[in-house]
Amino acid sequence: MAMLSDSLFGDAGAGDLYGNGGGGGAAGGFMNDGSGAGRKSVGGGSQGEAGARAGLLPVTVKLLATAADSGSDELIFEGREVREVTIVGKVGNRDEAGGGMSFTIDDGTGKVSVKYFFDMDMDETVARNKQLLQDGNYVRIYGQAKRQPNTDNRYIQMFSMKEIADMNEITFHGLEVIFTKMHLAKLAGGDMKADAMGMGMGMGMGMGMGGGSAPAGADAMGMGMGMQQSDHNDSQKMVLDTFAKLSTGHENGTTLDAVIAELAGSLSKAQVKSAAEALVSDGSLYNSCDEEHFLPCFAG
Amino acid sequence: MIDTAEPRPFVNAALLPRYASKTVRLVGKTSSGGGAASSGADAVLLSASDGQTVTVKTCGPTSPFLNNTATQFVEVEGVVEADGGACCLREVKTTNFGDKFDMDTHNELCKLSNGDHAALFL
Repeated sequence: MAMLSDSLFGDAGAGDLYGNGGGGGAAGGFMNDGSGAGRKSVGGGSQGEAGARAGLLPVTVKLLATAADSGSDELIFEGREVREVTIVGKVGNRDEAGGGMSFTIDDGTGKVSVKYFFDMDMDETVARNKQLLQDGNYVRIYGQAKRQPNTDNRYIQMFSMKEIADMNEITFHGLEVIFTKMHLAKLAGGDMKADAMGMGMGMGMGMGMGGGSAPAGADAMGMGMGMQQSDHNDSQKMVLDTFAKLSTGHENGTTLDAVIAELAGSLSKAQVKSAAEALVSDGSLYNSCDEEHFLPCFAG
Repeated sequence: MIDTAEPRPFVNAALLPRYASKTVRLVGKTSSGGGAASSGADAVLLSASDGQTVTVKTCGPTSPFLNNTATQFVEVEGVVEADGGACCLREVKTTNFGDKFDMDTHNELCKLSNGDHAALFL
């Protein structure tokens, strides 16, 4: 498999993740369902079965269509509950009514309905999202995969989205779907003890490829396939510790800029960004109230 | 609602024959930024992600190829026409993919999503 070049999601990708524009995220914290506290919860269900969840699962419409029925409202993929998903595709059939809107996402494998209920406390975000959700636009949707009770009507309830500014993200998403599937299949066939953290690693590597983090794409992919990256390197540890330190007493954590300032002299801005990206990817850090603020999952 | 009845797979030039009369998505490189090499009336040539040249029959005045709004990389959604040997693409809709796009990586996605991992896409 060819490796992603450095140019793919280099600085531009990092800029997207930690960028200043865009008016902030709608609902952070979805990447680490079940492991953090004080965030917007997007799922029901018990916390005790984290081992059987798939975290934030990159999906295609085809995957959603073929995911098994758990018997309840959840979908099952590779032995995991499919709850939070992310999908990349074109918007279509947009229809706005009252406090929400519905549209379809067409990713070339099929079309899926998406429901978006406006968060009235976040007018700016809603206005931005409405502007981006135009028919024909490529977007990335984050949401919850749902099935209407007693039917096989599957849809996504969106809680966040972003514009696809770099079309390489479309390629990346397709590859990430494949990668995650392989990873989950491997876990399902082998070490189930890897549970939620296993998925964290999977996502970590997936995003690592895109994020252009410290190792070159080739190395990141190699490690990803080996599934050996469970420990943080020195700079990641420093960044995580600093996030933990500066977040103490702050419900919404601290910003990347604050950590960059704190570590000035020890690590460059690029090093901090790259480390933070890797930490977000592996689930050690998550967005709290907006795209600027991050909280560590595990204090200390 | 989910509808997977008519997938439009990402393809490279080598995969075109497999989808005769079907709609596909092909990311191609125009010959130079903003323009495309013409192969005759209402047709342009694109370099697909596997490096092969594909003829695209344009869809009319709204085509970015004809009104010179195409970026260096484009995604052409079109119907595969197999006239004799070579396949060409009848443009339905074209989306600009900008001037910076990793064709090698995209080519791998074309191969994987039509090959070992087709179950996730088709």
